[in-house]
Amino acid sequence: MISAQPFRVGVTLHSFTHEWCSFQWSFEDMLQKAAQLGGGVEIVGPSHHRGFPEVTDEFERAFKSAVERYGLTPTAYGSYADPFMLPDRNLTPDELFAYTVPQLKGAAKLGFPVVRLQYFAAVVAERLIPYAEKLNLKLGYELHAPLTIEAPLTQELLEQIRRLGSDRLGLIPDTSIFARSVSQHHIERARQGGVPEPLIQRALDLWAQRRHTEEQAVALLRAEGADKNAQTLLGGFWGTCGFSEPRALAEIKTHINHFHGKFYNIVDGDEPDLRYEEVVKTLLDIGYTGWLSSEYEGGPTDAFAIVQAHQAMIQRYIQKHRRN
Amino acid sequence: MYDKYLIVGEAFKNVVEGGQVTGYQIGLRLPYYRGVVLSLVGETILTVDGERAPAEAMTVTLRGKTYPKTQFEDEPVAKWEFGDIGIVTVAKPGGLKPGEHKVELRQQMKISYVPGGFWGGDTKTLTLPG
Repeated sequence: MISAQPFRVGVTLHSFTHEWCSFQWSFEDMLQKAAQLGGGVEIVGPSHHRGFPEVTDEFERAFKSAVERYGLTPTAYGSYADPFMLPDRNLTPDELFAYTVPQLKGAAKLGFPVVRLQYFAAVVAERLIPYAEKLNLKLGYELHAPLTIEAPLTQELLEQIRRLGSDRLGLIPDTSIFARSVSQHHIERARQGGVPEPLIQRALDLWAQRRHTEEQAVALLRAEGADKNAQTLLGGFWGTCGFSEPRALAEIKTHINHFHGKFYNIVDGDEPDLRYEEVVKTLLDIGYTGWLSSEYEGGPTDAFAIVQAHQAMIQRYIQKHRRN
Repeated sequence: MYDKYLIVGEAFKNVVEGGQVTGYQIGLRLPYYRGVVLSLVGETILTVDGERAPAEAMTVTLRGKTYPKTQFEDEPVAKWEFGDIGIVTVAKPGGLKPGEHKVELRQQMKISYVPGGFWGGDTKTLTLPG
C-alpha cells in the first residue's frame, strides 16, 4: 500500500539531555538544532520550562518567538502525573486532575496539538477529555517499554480509550517496545555498574525468551544472586526493550496521536536493536500521517549527528517502502 | 552526566553574623534532568573533610527563600528548578578554616513516577577564602 503523505519526522528536546543538563546548550540552542532536524519540536514540560505545571507568560513569549524565527512546528508536550510526589501517600484523583489541567492549558498556550500522558493519568482521563476539546488538544498515553501493545495494562488503557470513544484520547507508541535485542547501551551500563558477566548473560538469555515481565525476570535473577544494583540494571533491559510486534500497530492505528522514535544507538546507519524497518513500513501501511519525534536516549555523544543519522535511517525506510 | 556540576565552588564561604562565624555556605545543584518539588529531594549527605553536616543544621535558600532541610518532606509546592543553585547554609560555630577542603556530596532523588529513587554524587576540593 502506498500512503499519499508519509508521516513527518521531528525531534524531542529530550534527545539533547546531555547537552542541556551539562549546560553546553541553552534552550534556544536546542530549538535552533530542532529547526535543522525536521522542524517538528517536542518538549518535556518540567525539564524545559520553569514553573511546571504552569507555563508562564514569559516562557510563552520566548518559545513562540523562537517558533516563529526558526519556523518550528510544536508537535507534542510531555506532561507528568508525578503521583508519588508526597512523602506519605500517593496523589488522589482530584489532586492528579488539579495537577494535570494546568499542564494541558500550558501546552495549548504554547501551541502544542498533542500532550503525552503517563498512564497514571488514566484515573482522570475521562475528566480531561472536555478540557482537551476546549483547548483543541489530543492526549496520548505513552507506550514505552515495558508497556508493550500486548501488556495487560495497555489493553486496559485501550479498553478505556474505546469505551470513552473520543479521538481526543489515544496512544503514543514508543519504538522501545519493538526490540529485537537488548541495546548495547544498557548492557554496557550493567557492566560499568559492576554486574558480574554471568548474571548479564543470564539476563540476556532470559530476555531472548521474550516471555517474562520485568518483575518475573528480576525475581529469577534475584534468586540467582543479583543484588539490588544488579536487579535495577538488569531489570532495565525489560524497561527499555519490549517485545511487541510492529504489525500490532495495525490494531491500534486509529488511536495513534503521536509517535516516539526512541533509539539508543546508530551503527552503520541503523538502530541495531530496535525493529525500525518494520515499524516504518507498518506506519506507512496503516497510513499514519502525524509526527514521529526522534528520541535519543543513549550515552553522551554528538547528539545532533546521531539524531541526523536516525532521521536519515527513517527517511531511507520511508523511501524504500513507499515505492513497494 | 550532571555529577560534576553538583557542587558549586564559587559560593563556598563562611557565614558571619554579628561578628561571629556561625557556619559555612556552599552552592549545590540537583542530579536530575528536571525541576522537582522539595518533597522529592531526598537525603543530602554532605561532608567537609570527612565531617558530615547534620540535616538539622542545614538550610537551603532557593530564589531568596530559605527552607530548613528537615522540612523538605512537607513542601510539595515550592520547587528546586533544574539548574538552579541552592545555597546550603550549615550551622557550625566557628565555621571552617580558610584554605583547601575536600567536599563530598551524595544526593538522593525521589522519583515522582517510579517508586524508589536514585543517588547522584560529586567530590571537589575547594578553597575557602580567608
